[in-house]
Amino acid sequence: MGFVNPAQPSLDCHLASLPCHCLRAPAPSWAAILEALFPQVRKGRISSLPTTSGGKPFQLWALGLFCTERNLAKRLRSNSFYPFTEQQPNVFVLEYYLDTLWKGTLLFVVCLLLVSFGLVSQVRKQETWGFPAYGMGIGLWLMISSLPRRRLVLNHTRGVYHFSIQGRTVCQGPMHLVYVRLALSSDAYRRCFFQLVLCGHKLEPLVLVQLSERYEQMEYLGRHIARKLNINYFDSLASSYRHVVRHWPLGAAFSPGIALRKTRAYDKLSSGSDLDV
Amino acid sequence: MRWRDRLAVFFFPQGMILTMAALMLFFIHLSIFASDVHNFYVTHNYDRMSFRYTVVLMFSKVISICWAAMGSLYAEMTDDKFLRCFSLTILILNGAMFFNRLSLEFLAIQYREENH
Repeated sequence: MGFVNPAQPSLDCHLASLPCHCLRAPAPSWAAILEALFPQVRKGRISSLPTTSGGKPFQLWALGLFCTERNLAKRLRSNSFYPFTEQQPNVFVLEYYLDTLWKGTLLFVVCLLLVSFGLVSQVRKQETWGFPAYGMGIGLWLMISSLPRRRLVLNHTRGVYHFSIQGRTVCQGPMHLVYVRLALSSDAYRRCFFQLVLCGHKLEPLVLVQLSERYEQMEYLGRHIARKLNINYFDSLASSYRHVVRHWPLGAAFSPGIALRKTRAYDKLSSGSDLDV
Repeated sequence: MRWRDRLAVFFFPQGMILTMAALMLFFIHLSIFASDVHNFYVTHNYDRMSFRYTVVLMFSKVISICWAAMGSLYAEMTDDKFLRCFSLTILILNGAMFFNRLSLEFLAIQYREENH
């Protein structure tokens, strides 16, 4: 959880700068470009109520292959609650298959071909058909474990989220446990790469954008998605003033360590939907 | 629905699945090791030992140690004492199996191939 104590301006300055040296000053023009990409950024779009909830269970697979920010921005333009669909006002549903389904199937098929054609069955009098047999077993296991369809429901009218696998409830909890997070990883040359992840308590993390270097665009997309879905957004650092917390844990408002945010001058992009504590 | 619930356990908890796979591999390796020791010391029937599968067997032992280690790591993150002890036991058993296999291969190294 990120919070700011207005009585300590030095801590504020310390928290303001990220340690990554590649953070560039925000260019004034690309915000206008993204505003052009989202002509309906202020209005929510309610799709017609579908008969089956969530018509595209394989949409996350393409996101796993070609996920850049422009791809995600394009998808957000057609469906503002991407990757969820709005079933009723304030109820968002996501049904998906894990991407290990196609990876396991591919591994299984390739190893089956290797075993049946006998390409790697013997190397210098050692029987090595065991390697593709292992691959077949692992591919089959990955395929079977990914076959049940996952379903994530964000229910704001009841204030809970619900995660189930093929109808069997795995976990159900309050809304502050689901969030959009910007994750940071750096390579040996101290270049920072960012990932946008939708995750939560006991949920399988869904990577929305992989390995991008543009911090401002990733942050904009993350905040946009979190605002549309009305969930929390967290920055890559654990304590930073760029977090957007809409749901607090129960009883957190009465704990003495949390101070209210007095100014929102840095947060001009988000709408005023923060909970007033 | 009961059998579905039992089957559904196979689909979700990651740590238990890895430990169970390592346990299954441990039993397979134990049976192969027992048959090899029987053929080496009791019947002296060196042709029936598993020399043709040494590469795959060593690879399989290393993989089972890796899976047991990953399962033990997942179990350490939960607070279940039984699960932690169980995963650690499986890891130790797999490690011991690896060193047993290594020793047997060293003992049997001169019986691997007979050239006349």
